[in-house]
Amino acid sequence: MKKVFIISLLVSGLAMLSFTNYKNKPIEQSNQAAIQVPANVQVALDKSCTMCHNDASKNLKGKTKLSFDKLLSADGYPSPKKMAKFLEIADEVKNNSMPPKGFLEKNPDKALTETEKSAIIAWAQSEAKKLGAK
Amino acid sequence: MKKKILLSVAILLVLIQFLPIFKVENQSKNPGDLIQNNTVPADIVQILKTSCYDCHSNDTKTPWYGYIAPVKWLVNYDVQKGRKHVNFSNWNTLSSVEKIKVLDECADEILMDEMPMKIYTSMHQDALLNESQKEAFASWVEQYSEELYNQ
Ligand code: HEC
Repeated sequence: MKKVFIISLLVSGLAMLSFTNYKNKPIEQSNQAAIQVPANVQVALDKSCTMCHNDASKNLKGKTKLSFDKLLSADGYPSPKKMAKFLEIADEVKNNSMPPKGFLEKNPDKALTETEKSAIIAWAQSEAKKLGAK
Repeated sequence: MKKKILLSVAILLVLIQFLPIFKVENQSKNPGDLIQNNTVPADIVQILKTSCYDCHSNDTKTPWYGYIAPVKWLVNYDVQKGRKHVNFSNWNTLSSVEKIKVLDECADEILMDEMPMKIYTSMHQDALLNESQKEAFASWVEQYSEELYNQ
């Protein structure tokens, strides 16, 4: 009788332990996490891109086509769209299509240096790869 | 004098019809076509066919004035450019990743009223997309991209 009592105590103790263990585990990320931006890339993006490409921007076309807020946050764009946007970022910077020419004529100080371009391209390509692009 | 000018213009117009520039060939068999190879919902097929396929497939439906130079050159130039950029007749030659990227760009272009092109919709009013069509297209893109992504 005593044995049964001890065993059931042990079992319930174990159950409680595993329960607390379970509770202490971080809530599983639904499918994606926030994306970290290396400091040098962040500086370049803030200088030349985010004023048109974040949710608060007044540039409707710019922010509709690409929002860095939605690109980087866990609950922003769905993963396939994030992957597509990263590939497009690499393309646009590689082809010197972004920032737009007209904008650079008025704001020559916002032009990316070659180092900044390579940093953005490498970062965007590696994020696209993490999301499944080859 | 006036008669002579008119006559030379007429002759010129006839002659330019034979200039072999900006040629566009149609292809009836397109085994890699998007619509033929995928279960695309009927409303999206309708959008693709009436608003996109004239410039973004090998199956261009040319109106009568599109056969007459110099309009022919303008039309064919745009069709050549359109096909080069995105050709839904060759959809299956793209990788899943490329498809996702093209779909994303399509949704954005439509949402921002950049496609179909204004010069095209001015002559093809039925190609104009209303808000609910644009939304339907965007959610199809999202869903199809998810499918491709999880393949
Ligand atoms: C002056 C505002 C402005 C700045 C600065 C700017 N963009 Fe853009 N960007 C736009 C606009 C407007 C569009 C849409 C252009 C179009 O479709 O013709 C766009 C389009 C894009 C697209 C295409 C998205 C798609 O869906 O096709 C990408 C990618 C992009 N920008 C990345 C960048 C990057 C990276 C930078 C910084 C290096 C940058 N942009 C700087 C205004 C801007």
